[in-house]
Formats: sequence, structure tokens, C-alpha cells
Amino acid sequence: MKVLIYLEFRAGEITADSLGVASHLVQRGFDVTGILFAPEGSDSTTAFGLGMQGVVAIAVPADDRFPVAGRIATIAKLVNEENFGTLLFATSAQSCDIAAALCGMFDAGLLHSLVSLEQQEGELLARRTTLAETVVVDAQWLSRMRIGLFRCAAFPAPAPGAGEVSISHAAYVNATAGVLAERCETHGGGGVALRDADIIVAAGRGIGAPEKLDLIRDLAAILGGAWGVSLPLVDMGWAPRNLQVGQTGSIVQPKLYIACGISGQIQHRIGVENSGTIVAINKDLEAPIMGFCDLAVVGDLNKIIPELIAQMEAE
Amino acid sequence: MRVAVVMKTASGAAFDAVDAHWREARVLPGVMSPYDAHAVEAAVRLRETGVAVEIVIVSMAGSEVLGALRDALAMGADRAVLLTDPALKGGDIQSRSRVMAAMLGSVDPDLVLYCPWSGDIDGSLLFGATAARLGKPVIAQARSLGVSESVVRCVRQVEEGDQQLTATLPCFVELTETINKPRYATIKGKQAARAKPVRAITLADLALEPSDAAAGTKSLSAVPAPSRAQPQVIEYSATCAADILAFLRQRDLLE
Repeated sequence: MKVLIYLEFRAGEITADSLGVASHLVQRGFDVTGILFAPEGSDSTTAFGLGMQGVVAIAVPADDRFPVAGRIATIAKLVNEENFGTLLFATSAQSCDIAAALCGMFDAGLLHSLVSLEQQEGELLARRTTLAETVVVDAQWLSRMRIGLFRCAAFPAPAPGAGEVSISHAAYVNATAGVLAERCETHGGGGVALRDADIIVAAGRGIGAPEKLDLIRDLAAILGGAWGVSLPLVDMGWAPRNLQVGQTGSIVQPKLYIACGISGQIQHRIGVENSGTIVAINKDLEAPIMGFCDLAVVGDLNKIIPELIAQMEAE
Repeated sequence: MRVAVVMKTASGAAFDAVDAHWREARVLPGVMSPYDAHAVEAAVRLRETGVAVEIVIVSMAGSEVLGALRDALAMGADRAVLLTDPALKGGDIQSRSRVMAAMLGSVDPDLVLYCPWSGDIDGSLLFGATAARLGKPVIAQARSLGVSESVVRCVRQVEEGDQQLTATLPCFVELTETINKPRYATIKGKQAARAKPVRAITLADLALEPSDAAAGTKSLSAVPAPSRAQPQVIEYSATCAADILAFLRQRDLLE
């Protein structure tokens, strides 16, 4: 079955999430075409070797003032010309905007939070999670046109392959109306972007005071990881927004997540649940995080963190 | 300027997660969702600064939402329109956005506000699809809202940083809960709310058929998601740090 996957280009590369979805679809036997909007001359080689049928590359002008409207108009044109019936995305801020708009434009059925897509006897079977990931649902589209949004970090980033992929080009349909976007980059802090970090140490309200964040920074440094904070600390002005871990901040999937003085409310849990291993340091054994972590350390982080650092330095 | 605030019904109590998935949304009587309160507050503030002249609450639900509508009217909204129809049962983003677009088309607002729970991707997508059906621009997850006569300016947090977004009216804006702190309704406000009009309509009033409310997707089965195994617990002791490191080493997490 022929499907179109939106390969999102962000921060100079195709996102690991969208490559993961493309790879999953190829493995499930779909005839996969990728659509890629990127500035002229961008490197799209990470899309090679995944086994996709082809990639339609669209050069985005430097002055891309209506990014979502432009992408929607371009995708709609391609969908009509090539008769794509199934449009798939990896969830992100931009892809949600695009998927919702296409749903309205094409009166299409929309399934989100997908974790897998299968073909069974000519039918499409989607598996998705719902209700803060507590329920797994098998679902189908009844509509002629189908749109699917895969959940964040549904698949690991595929290893770069050696194969080729046929690249065709299409023109960007420049929009002159819509939502005008001007971007301010605010990344920084810690040196290792949270979303890509393998190790993250995060502080919650239990840290007590902004000066105590030194403990968190030091522990992250000695582990070679990134550091972050939960939402309350950002709201109190102790750390900038781009260091926030959680649903309204960064959804992370490190191999190791160390939560210090974080209670683990559902919004935070959703942001960190995909971590390989979660270690929680908290005075309160009844805190929600102590129920869904892998190692619950009950005690005062003001003692535990310095001792942990000292132990690592000694070894 | 007429501002419409979309009010989404919150789920009531269910036996368990799977039950909650199948069960239709139920609202605890008389309670407005705290998230909806942020959108109502934003609208009321626009009226206080003279930008908005009329605030209309718009909702698709059963009569159990009347209490929530009265709460919004008590905060300062002027009137409410409630679409109730048995054909709405089992709808999804495709069908609900179709119906919501017809409803908002008849209200004809200059600005549509909505504040979902931050994890409610369903509500967020529904809102975006509705705006698309009406051909109106939509801003998602706005953390700040500046409205002038013809233009809306918002800040949205995306993966790379903060985006400054601008849209011309009429448009849709989805807010996040950090946008404001909603006021409490006064006794006077609650009394005045009783006299404010709440108009109940059905699909037929929007020239829609029951088939227009039929979902474009279907759930076949729902099971609880597998959960993490029980955590290992360590109490603070002299060997605490060494124990933690041993745990990490065992999982091959240290270099």
C-alpha cells in the first residue's frame, strides 16, 4: 500500500522521529514515499538506505514566512497529483499543525498517538495509545483519506543505511496568508540538547533553592549528560524554559534519567516515560515518581548527590 | 469584536482506564474544567480592555455541561450555545470538527479561544481541523496573547525555541494553561449568570444530518497498557552512593 511520510527537517537534519516512522513503515511492507521540506542544498542522506520508494524534496526559501500554510498547500498539491490516500507523520509541533489542517481540508479520518501500523488482508490496522498512555487501542480508518500521527519517540532512530533512494523535486507552493512565524532560537544551557541526550539529571521542587541547582549541574557533568528541570522551577524563574523536561517542555528518551526532588505528576511522567532507566531521588516514598521509576532512592538529595559525585570521583 | 470560547467536556469518573476509553465524556455536574477557565478568563480580559464586545461560549455535549456553562457565564461571558444531539455519540476528530465548524460558522466570531489540557492532543487536533474547515488561521499552544483590532500576536514554544506568531483576524487561538490565572466568579456574577441566555441546538438547526456526525475512524479493542515493573527501593545509608552506582553499572549505563 502506498503511503506518504512527512520527513521533518529541523535544526539542520531530518528528525530521528520521522526517520524511525519511515523505517517502521518500510519494515511493515508499505510502499513509502517521503516528503521533505528543507533549505536548498540540505543534507538528506540520512533518508538513504531505509528502503523508501522515493523522496520528494522541496526546497524551502530562506524567507519562509508562512511555513505551515506553505507546507500544507504543497502537500495538498502533491496528494491530489499523485493520489496519496494515507498521510503519516511523527508527532511534533509542526506536524500536528499540518496534520490537523490536512484533516480539515480533505475531510480525512485522523488517528494520533500511533505506535504501529500494519497491513492485514488489505486493511490498515493502527495501534495507538490513549488516556495518558494507560490504554492501548487497535483502530481503523473508515474514511477514504487517512491521516496518522505517530507518537513521539515511537521508534529508535534507524542506523544509517548504505542504499540509495530516488529523489524527485517539487516546487514549494509559497503561501501569502496564514500564520506568520518569526523564530527566536533559545537553545543553549548545558551544551547537550535534552531531546538527544543519553543521560539527563533533572531537578524538581525538592531541590529547594536555585543555588542548589549546582548539585544537578555537577552530577550531570560527571556523568557526561545534560541537565534539566521540571515545570515548577521554570514557572518560579529558576531555570529557562528550554531546560524544561515534561510534556509542555521536552519529551525525552535518554538511556538514563535521574529525577531529583521531582514528584512525578502525569505531565512530567509523559515527558520521561520512554527513558531506558529512571532513577528517582526523593524524600517521599509515596511520590508518584517512586511508583513508576526503576530505582527509587529514598532520602535527602542534598546528601545523596554529593556522595554520589564523590563516589564517582573516587572510582 | 465577538470572541467565542470553545468549552470541551471533561471526562467524569470511570471504573478504569479501559472503561474511560469506551465511555462517553461525562462532566461532573456544575463544574467547569480548570482549563476552560483560562480561555474564558482570556476572553473576559479582552472585554475589559475594550477589545471584545461579546463573549459566546460554544460547546458540544449533553445537558450535564449546563453547570460548566453557568460557571463561564458567571465569570463574565455573555451567552452560550450548546449543541446536543444523540448522533454526536462516538464522534471523532473528523466528524466533530465538521460539526464544530458548522456551529462556529453560525456564531461567526472574530476570535475563537480554546484551552485544552496540555496532554490533550485530541482537543488540539480537533481545534486545528475545525479552523482549517473554516479556512481560518490557527495558532496552537499560545503562551501569550496580544490582540488588536485586526491582528493577533502570540508566543508558542516549539522544539527549537520560542516562535513569535502573528495572524490576522478572524482566527483561532489555542491557549496553554500558563497564559493567565482565572478569576473566581463573584456571587453577583453567579446570580447574573442565571439570566444569561443558553441556547440549545441540534444538528438539524445547523442543517446537518446525523450522518454528518458519523466518525471516520473506529476503535476495535482497548486493553490496559503494559506498565513498568515494580521499582527497586534503596533507603539512604552509608553505602547509598555505592549501591546506586552498582545498579547503574549492572544496567550498563556508566562509561
